[in-house]
Amino acid sequence: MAETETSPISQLWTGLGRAFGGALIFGLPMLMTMELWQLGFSVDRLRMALLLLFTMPLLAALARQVGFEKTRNWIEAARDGLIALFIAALASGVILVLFGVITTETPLREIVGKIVIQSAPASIGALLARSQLGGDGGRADDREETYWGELFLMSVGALFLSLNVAPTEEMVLISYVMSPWHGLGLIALSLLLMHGFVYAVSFKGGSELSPDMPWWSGFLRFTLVGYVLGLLLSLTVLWIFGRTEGVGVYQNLMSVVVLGFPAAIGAAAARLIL
Amino acid sequence: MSSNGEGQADSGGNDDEDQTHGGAAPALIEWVLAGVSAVLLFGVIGLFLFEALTNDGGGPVLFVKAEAAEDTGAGFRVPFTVQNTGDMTAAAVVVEATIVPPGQPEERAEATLDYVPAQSETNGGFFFEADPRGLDLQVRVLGYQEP
Repeated sequence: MAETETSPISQLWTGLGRAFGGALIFGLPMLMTMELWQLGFSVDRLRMALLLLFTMPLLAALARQVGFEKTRNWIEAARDGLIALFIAALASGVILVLFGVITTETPLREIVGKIVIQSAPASIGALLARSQLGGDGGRADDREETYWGELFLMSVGALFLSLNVAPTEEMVLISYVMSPWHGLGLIALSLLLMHGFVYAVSFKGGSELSPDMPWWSGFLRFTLVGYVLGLLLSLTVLWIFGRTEGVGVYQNLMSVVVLGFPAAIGAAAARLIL
Repeated sequence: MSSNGEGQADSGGNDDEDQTHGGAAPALIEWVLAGVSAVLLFGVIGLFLFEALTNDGGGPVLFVKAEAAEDTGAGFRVPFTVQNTGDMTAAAVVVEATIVPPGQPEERAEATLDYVPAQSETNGGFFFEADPRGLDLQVRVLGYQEP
């Protein structure tokens, strides 16, 4: 937080600029995916509202941890979260207009749908911009690392990466061509990679693992819990995008495990990056 | 900071669910979460193993069921459901429906469904110009593609 010698106003503009850039970096893969434009009009409105309602507290909590301004209380955090959401919506809107996806003939309902669905992941990017693009790379040092804080960061990472790939048709297609054995293999690989990440950061900057703890302690409390959190978030995301309707339990779980793979990587990497 | 003394309630989150847990030893709640996660994960693994051992490797088994026709003003719509009771997902499923209105030639409608996943169902609809209500509506699955 060593922003010295600059006026608060220029600091704010720098922050907003970073947020815009972050929204684009994190949002572009989705903005250029056809399925997401379609989801803008096919997703159930109630679920879309839920996505927004779910995103806002998440952004506020994230702003507490890594915002484009140092936040002192929850009011400020909520404000920063809303700004991030607004900037994400603005960035998504501008890009979709330039891509010709939104035109003057697009019905308002569809415009709102398209922007809302793009804004959710883009707003995470807008908030993360601070830690991603900011010059001061010292985030990890001044953050309290509690168990719940770690789980929260893992969830954000999982949610972000799964939101990015969940809408594509390939997601479900992959799960259709996989056999149960493939699914079991993917679970094993997800856990292995995740634990690699968890282990890699376990001694960095005061996480809750210490060298004298047995390996399974970290595995059970971080890797396993983080992975299952990722699976639950994947299920939620698939449900929001209407991918679970009419699909049998086994086939749904296979999609969840497939989406859980990027979610696991996102969850594990979040602890390194954020 | 090191592994001890974490979890103070100050900047981690002072008014919400961010609760403290003491000392170097993991709090009980952490083990409870780990236990719940283990149960859920073993549930998934168990189901996959069950599927792996009972899956006979057969192809998709597709049934199509038509529902009551509705007059949309722009033709008659007959919603239908294709159910796949097999162990394999079918892609590009083509379904056909025919009616023979009295005194007129047979009318045929066709629809293609992107996917009917294994042990799942997918909905679609046929359109007819003649009113299918009260007529004998024949529906059948013509074919599919392996995904």
